[in-house]
Amino acid sequence: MDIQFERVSYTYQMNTPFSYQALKDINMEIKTGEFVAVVGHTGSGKSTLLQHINGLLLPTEGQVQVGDFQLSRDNKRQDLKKLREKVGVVFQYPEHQLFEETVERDISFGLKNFQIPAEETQARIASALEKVHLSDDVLQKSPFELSGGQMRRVAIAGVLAMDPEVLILDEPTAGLDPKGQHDVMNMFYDLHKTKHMTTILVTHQMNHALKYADYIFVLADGRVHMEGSPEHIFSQVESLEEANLDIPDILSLINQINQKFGTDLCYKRQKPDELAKEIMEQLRENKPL
Amino acid sequence: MMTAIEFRDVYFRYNEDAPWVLKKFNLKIEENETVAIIGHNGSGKSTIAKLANGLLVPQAGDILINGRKLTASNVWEIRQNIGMVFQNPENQFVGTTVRDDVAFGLENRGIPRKEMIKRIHTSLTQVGMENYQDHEPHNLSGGQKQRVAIASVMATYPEILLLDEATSMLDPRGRKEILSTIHDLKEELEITMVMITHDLHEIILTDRVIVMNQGQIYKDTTVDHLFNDYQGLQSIGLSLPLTVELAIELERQYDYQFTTYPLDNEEFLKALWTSNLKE
Repeated sequence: MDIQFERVSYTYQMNTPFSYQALKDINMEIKTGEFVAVVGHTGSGKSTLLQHINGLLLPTEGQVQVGDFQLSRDNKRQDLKKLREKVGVVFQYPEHQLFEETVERDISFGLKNFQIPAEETQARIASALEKVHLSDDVLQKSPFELSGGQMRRVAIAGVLAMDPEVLILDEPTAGLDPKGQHDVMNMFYDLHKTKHMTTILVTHQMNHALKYADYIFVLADGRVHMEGSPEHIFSQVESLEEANLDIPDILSLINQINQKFGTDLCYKRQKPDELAKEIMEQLRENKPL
Repeated sequence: MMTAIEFRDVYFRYNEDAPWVLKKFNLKIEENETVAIIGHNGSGKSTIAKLANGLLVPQAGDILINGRKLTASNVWEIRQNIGMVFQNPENQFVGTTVRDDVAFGLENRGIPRKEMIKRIHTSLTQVGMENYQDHEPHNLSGGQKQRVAIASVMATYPEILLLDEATSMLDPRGRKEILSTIHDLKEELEITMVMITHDLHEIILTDRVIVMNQGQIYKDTTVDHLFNDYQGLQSIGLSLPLTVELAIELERQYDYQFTTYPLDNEEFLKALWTSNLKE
């Protein structure tokens, strides 16, 4: 499902003294099967934007096209159920939305709501659990007995059970420890690679945007401030500054090495061992004196 | 020197069917120390903070604050000496303005108005928020909210400051703001600081690092020595900073020898520079 924003603006509490324009004239195109990152400082409009993709918010101006669905201000609410079946959203701290008595019932809640035939339920649950790397002995447990990381996986499984074509991730690693972050991001990246799922990662972690995204949109003050490949975006340090963002750790280190030693290193998603090797090779070539 | 926080043979679990989170746990934190407690999710690190200020009560063992045993009857009084800042900046506001919010803790303690005004000003200045007294908390950024939360705590003149993953919900800029605030507090004041964290940038500010694993102290060390046993840290689910990973690779592939692993870019560049000259 291709996604297209055409001159989209959104104003909260329109026509009241509290009206606040969160999105301003957004144009954006996301192709089927892409992994896109939407980055921006707190308050830049990231969350408002993502809620337009599954019709939780409708644009006050302009229109959003998601596959065959057209979203604009005069859409009828009931049209959106089919869309929401196809666009899965993993919200921030999704484990806060768990509420059922057992993991199994929690995962099947969405399936029931979307009238997925009962005979499919078991297979869907099993496959969702497998995707989030949980074994089926959690099914009969209360979700609240599980650890934080496991709870988050259960909540994500609930979204994946719908077999969405587009997956929107809003800060999916917030509050996890570094290993948990790594595991969750790799899980999403695998799904993207193996199931060709269109993935939209909303984050302020530049390290993740650099590592996983094919294409990055930088939002600032409700507008698309920059867009392009990670290489392009992160080479524009000053423009990022304007959006109150920093470049990823690994790039700032590489830049500093280049500056200090006159080397010519560039980031190509090297592993630490490869990068260490390149640093040494270049240092030996460039040896002063 | 006085011991600020002491755990003696502490046992704790969340309910009777649950496994022990802490089992025969012992820990001593001295006055004016800055200590980081790290560990993966579920290693018991947050439980320690909540036990230390009496939010949780151990099933067995003693907890002593400034040499006094924490009991049901003195917990309110002892808690006056321990300021705690939590993870979520959204959950710790009561006032409608920044000033009211800082005043709240002082009013509760019956501090006279004149003194209150002075303390509010001082503590907001300490965190660089003195120009925001009349602002509404919900209009502040995450980093600013956490700084106000720290000011609210500091205004009560605690002897111990506990930060329970205080930066984990902030964006990178907010995180930097808090780190420099913590740094300044440490420079200016004599205070015991305990940071529960998995952010390695926070660890750099500390004198001592305690690594928790399965309710036990896995390692009690300093920042400089923390990564000497990097395999061990990885095996208990902690990840290494980029500069440490690169340093390890330099040792493995080339004849580098690091006495301490570089924790930030500057240290890494310095190490490269020195050895590049030697060759």
